[in-house]
Amino acid sequence: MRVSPPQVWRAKQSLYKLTGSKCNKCGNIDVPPSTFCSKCGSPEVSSINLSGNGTLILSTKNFQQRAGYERSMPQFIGLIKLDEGPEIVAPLTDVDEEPKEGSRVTAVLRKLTVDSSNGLIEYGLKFKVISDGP
Amino acid sequence: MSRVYITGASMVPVNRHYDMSLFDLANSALMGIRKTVEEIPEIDAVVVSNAYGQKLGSQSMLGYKISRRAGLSGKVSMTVEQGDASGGASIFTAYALVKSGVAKNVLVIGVDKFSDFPSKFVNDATSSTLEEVSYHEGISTSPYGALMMKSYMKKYDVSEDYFYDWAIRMHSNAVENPYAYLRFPVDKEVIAKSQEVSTPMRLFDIAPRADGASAVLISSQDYSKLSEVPVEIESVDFSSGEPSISSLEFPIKRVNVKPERTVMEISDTFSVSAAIELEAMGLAERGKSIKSLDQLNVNYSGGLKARGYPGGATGVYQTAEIYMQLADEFPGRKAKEVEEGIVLSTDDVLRTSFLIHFKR
Ligand SMILES: [Zn+2]
Repeated sequence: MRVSPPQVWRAKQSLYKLTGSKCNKCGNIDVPPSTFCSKCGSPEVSSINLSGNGTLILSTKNFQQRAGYERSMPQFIGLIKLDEGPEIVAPLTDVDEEPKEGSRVTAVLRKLTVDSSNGLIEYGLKFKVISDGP
Repeated sequence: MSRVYITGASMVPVNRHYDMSLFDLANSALMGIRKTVEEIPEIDAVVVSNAYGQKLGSQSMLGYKISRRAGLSGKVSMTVEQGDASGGASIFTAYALVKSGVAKNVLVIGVDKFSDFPSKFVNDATSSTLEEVSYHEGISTSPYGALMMKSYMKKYDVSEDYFYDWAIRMHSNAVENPYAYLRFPVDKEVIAKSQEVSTPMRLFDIAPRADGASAVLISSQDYSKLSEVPVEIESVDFSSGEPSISSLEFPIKRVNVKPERTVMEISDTFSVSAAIELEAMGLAERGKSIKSLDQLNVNYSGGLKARGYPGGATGVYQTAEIYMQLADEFPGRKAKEVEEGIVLSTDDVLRTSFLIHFKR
């Protein structure tokens, strides 16, 4: 069994929408959210909903297969600077070639993988290009 | 507090050992120690360094199981896991046990096994070191290497072939190392034509995974004479944090050594990792490290690139290699006129690292 419903359910704040945590002390934003600030260790953090919009800094076309994700190969992975500041590495979707650096991207919900033994589908966020960079 | 020494080391050649289990490999490394250390002292603790045995070998409690098979029941035993930095973490654990006086002699055994499954399953196992969400999103570690490489190329205005010299050097070193996995030379053409793994990274920019086991005996000063040339562990430093790929800021300690007098083994999971590490440690100019390899005694084993990358055992191999270099016992390419050694044991995307200093 590959997909565990409780695991997916627990990760819903990160898999289905882009949530982060903002440190009330130093202003650092953690994505995925964290109970303690990863920068200063403070427990005084607030949950924030991120816009899901960002700018593509770099991308790569990946041919290295992972069991369970064969259908999404080759896979495009981006280094994205979210509008709120943090940099994340995330899968890109609806692209056939490596998008231009500086492209504007937004998070969309897509199918990630299907469990071959019980048919459960796991969904999650990928990033779609909404406009080419400068 | 006691001073801490390496008093013995052994390695199993890195390879696809289809005929050997995790336990066979560990036993083979232990047999190697028995053959090289004339009088094995009483062992107080066994530290097993392993990263992927739970996932790929369905085996937990390797610390206990391996020590029992070695006739060391009743001793302190544990498994240390920190991804590909497990080896560095294990050496640190043994160092701390001896330094504090809790133990006089600690056996560190690194073992990992990749060749029992096709690579897409192995990629799944190594991806478990990524954050939970990234793992679920289907990301593996190579795209991180590729993004680091692109970022480096952009920042220092170099092209893909800048990195070729790393693979060429590692393969030429490995040819001389009987414990290495890929013992053949490569040239620019072979690298340029090799398979793309994650653009712009090709097969020869990535460490090949294979099976391996290595053992190191770590002793207090009272036992330093077990080795003809005692090699002291002077210190172990630790760094960790979140790397910034776009600014190429990586949490690795700077070192204060004379490069021409220091032999080093660093973690080149990707060619770009080697460049980043050498530069972050202050051993080479930023953006130029791969062009200054002649000034560094680096990865005479062939590195992860060509000695091969046996997962959580890697840092133990690196320690054994530096010990053998400083004790003048390394069977491969020898470092000349060196007095000090460095092992940099990191995870695959440079979030955590152990920096071990050795002195002859
Ligand atoms: Zn903070």
